[in-house]
Amino acid sequence: MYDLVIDDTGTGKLTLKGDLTIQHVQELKQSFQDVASQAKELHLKFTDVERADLAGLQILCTAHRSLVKGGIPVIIAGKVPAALREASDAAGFKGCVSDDDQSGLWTGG
Amino acid sequence: MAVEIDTSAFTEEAYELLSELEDSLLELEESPEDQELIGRVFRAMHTIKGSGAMFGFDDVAEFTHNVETVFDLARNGTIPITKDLIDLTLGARDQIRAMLDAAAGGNAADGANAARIIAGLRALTPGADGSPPAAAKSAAGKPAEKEDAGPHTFRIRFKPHGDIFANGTNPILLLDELRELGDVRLIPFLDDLPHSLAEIDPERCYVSWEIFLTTEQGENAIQDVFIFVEDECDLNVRMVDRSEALAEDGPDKRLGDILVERGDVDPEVLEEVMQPLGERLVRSGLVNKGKVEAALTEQQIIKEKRESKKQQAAAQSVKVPSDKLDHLVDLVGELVTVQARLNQTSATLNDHDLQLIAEEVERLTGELRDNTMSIRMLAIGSTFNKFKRLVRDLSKELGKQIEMTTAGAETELDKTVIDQLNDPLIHIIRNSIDHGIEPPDGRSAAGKPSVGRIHLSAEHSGANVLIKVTDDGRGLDAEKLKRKAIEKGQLAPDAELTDKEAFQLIFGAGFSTAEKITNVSGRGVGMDVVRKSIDALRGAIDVQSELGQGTTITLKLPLTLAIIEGLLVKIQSEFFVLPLAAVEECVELTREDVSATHGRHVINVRGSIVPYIRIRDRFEVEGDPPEVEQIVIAEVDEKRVGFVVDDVIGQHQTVIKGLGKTFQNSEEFSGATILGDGTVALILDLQKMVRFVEDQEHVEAGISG
Repeated sequence: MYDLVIDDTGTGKLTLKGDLTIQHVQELKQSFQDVASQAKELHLKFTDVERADLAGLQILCTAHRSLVKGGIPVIIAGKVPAALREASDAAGFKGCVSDDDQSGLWTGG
Repeated sequence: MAVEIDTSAFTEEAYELLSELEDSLLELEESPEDQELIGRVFRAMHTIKGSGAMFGFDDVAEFTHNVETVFDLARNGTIPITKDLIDLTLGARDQIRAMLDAAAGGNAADGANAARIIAGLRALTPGADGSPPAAAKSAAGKPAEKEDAGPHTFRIRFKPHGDIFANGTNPILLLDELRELGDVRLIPFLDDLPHSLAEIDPERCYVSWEIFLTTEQGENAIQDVFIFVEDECDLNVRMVDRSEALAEDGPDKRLGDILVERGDVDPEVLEEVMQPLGERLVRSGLVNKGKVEAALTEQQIIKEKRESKKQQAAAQSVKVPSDKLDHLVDLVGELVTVQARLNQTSATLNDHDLQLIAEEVERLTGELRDNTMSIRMLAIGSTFNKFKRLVRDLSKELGKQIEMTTAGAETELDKTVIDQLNDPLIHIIRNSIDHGIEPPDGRSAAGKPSVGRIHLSAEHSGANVLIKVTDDGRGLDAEKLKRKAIEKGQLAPDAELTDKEAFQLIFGAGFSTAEKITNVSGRGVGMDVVRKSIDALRGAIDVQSELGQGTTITLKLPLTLAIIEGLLVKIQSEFFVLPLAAVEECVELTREDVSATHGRHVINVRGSIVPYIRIRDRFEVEGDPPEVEQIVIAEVDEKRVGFVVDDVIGQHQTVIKGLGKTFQNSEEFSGATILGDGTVALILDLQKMVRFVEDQEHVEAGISG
């Protein structure tokens, strides 16, 4: 489901697939905590996310704030899938998760 | 394995909701424009429907759903609140009750009646007969919600509680539902969302929204989106472009008001800032001081009302099955008895330390008793509300116009007394409606307002509660009552009765002066049942009436049935208790007094002649009376009557015990009590003793005559 690889250079690659929902947020939190403790940079790929809910959006938001504050840049790799974009639009999280907003990604919360 | 679902919690709640529903509907009939009441009716039905479905009462849920659907149209102003709608909804309430009774093993509910109610309700909906709704205005002529043309913008503050995810709710879906109602602009608030992974509990909700929704729908449609999460979120819906706010010639909305409305500025803070403004206005002569004070007072009143409403909502209570309370009362009763024994023993042993402990136990027992009794006390208001429905339905049936008013609904009485008071009061009120209040033309002819009045009141009077039923009907005709009693052989033709005594005839078995028998009353059963029930409650009935003006029936009832203050007396070695509330004084009876009256049982007490009953003779207690006996003078049926005993021991707090089956027919005793040393003392029912002796004298007079 959540695949995290951290290479020798300290680059973490986290691939999210399937459901980004309340059932998996504890697991996701753990993955981000692993990134925070072991990686210098995070490449986040959620191309294959099929569903997302508010709990999923919240943990993405906090992870981003937390990592950026801790000096770990977050880079979105690949396209943001429709499921995630629709959820973030529905919740009003504009400018948060979008293809063309990588520079200021999430920093506004 | 099948899972047994305990449905008692649902039925209990449903019965409560039904009674609330009935009260709200009756109130709504009086003020059909009251949105708060309409909301209350709707919510009661909605909860019955929801919980009914959850507990497997599918028929109840389905029926209620159909009623609710029509009532929803009334809620959003599509159809007006009419008498027909109230009638049908009251009928629906009775039908739901019948369905619940049937599920609990009662008679099957009448399915045809349910269909009739639904058909009747549907006929009230727009388009049911091809015509537009009768009136899309509420009774007060206030424009209904939908009639207010054009879309409106609402500000919705939606703050889910932290644990909202736990029941599977995804708030985003609710936001999507709002989008279906109209154009949505939303601002998420993420201030509470932790900035650190270590701090976040990812299964809690931290987000809230301020949503601006522009829609053709009313506020109710918005509330309905959140109806299943209303306990799991803070919700505030407010129309931000109400017509008065948009009126061109209206004043601009003040910044202070907007800030207050939005909750960004505390109204108290604004009030502080506003006060100097008031003073400035007064100084500049623009507004006089009185007007400013009036405005401030108005503000204060609203604030107080809100505060008290909040407090009421916050008042917490615990539901306890009444048999647990009964058991507690029994235990307290036992404790009172043991405490009396402790007192007696400590007095006999003359041990100072033990006496101190006994006194302490006495104090605590007293407090415990008062406290326990107060738990059983209920306000009589809920019973009063039931009668509003009775009056409404009966007056309609009989073609009379009657208005019922109540007072003292907050008066508290023992639960047992309230439960047993229901039937007697129904009989009395039925009689007032049927025989007392005249039909509208009869009233007009008698120069009275065409609407009759029944006033039901309750008030404390010492250790008693007085419940009065007053009507402004035709009153009782003492002569007619006497003639009827003589006709029926219940009264000797030459008997002389005061009006007051004649009024008491209505409580005779099989007595009715009604010229025709109606469904309501007139069969002569009822008022004798009333007397029996009130007697069983150790109460008294008084009737006052003025021909042509009306009748007042007063029930005097003890506050509680479990414990009474008594006067302990002794005859030979037997102990008796007289209810202290009735006792007026004690006087001595010497042999000389007896011989002076030539054997007639009367005594002169400070110039007035008081008849007395010798308890010794009445109960055939063996042995000789002392030289000087005591007469306990009590008020019985508003007359002073003496009861002759050997000794008056003193005041005694009495826990009433039933006499058991063997002695259940001994009418002159209302129970027994156990004294400190284990001796049993019988509690005398003074009214019945007096009536018994009077009846006996009548019989003897009849024989001699």
